[in-house]
Amino acid sequence: MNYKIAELKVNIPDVGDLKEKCKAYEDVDYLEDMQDKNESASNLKETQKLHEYAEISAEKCDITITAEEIRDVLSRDETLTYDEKVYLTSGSIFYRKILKFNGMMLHASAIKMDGEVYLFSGPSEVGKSTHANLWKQHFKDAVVINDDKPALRLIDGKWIAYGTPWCGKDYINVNDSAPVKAICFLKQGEKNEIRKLEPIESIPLFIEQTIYRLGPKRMNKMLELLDDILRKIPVYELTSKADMEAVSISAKAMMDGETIAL
Amino acid sequence: MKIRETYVKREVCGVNVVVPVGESTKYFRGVIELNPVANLIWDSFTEGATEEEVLEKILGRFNVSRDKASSDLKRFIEKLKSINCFED
Repeated sequence: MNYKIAELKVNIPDVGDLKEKCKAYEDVDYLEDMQDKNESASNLKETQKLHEYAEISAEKCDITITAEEIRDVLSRDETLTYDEKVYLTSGSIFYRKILKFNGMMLHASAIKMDGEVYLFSGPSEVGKSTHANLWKQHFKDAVVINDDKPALRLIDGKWIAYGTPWCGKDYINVNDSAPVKAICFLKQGEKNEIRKLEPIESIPLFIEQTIYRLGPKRMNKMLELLDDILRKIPVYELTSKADMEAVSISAKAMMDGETIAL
Repeated sequence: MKIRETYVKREVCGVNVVVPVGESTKYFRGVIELNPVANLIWDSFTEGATEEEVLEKILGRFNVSRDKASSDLKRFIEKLKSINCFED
């Protein structure tokens, strides 16, 4: 089945519950095409053509994920169900393959507001989702387009963040996108404060929150993309008490570039 | 001595960083930041230079005594060996 994810045509097999998880990303053009072909398929010969068409469609895709690939590298985490393993593994495969298309994954909560995306990144349990929820309480028109692994792509010199089907166990995502305004790494702390990071500080933080199991070529590509992000997007570190004050100081910094200590 | 290709070096926003991939992640997890001397050493070993050749390069580029450069280089090489940087 063909999908449109992060502006790429992606062929994803019907394995586990992927069909359900990817429903919001179905490629409308492909579906209309298939429907036309279905209507004119009246005998076995036509059904055969349909299969061929589906195969050719897969070839025309930017990214193809196969059932075999998923099986070959299936997560070995025995605490997960089969569907959960397929979901995680297919996501890993997708995020590796988008490197070729100037794309990468960041383990972050992506909030879209006023046509721009704010990314909150950091290790698991640091409070990304909590911060996103507080942000939404404060800014009523804010929407989380991906609460776990937004895709970031460099399109015509601009970094765009995308919702994708791979968005964490609470499955919070919207099939939407917007240019990235700022990135913030979260830290838990006794006092709310925010500061701008130098590249030398943010590089290891980024590498920790993206796919690291890459071969030399792909790692080199990832670093090339990181270089571009750091030249264009401001990066902050927020020490947060996970309250509304943390939201206001992070909003002030990320929206206006002001890092006044309170 | 040659550096393994499973240590990937790239300049990122003005900083020369090295990141391990694959097998090398068993020996080192993290990011190495190379200062100008370390960067010169790393690039030389990437091309497969000998310790002597690297020492001469350092002396040619930086204002430092042979003794200091030699002992610093030896120490750096030991550090790199401890994280399995060099090919067998």
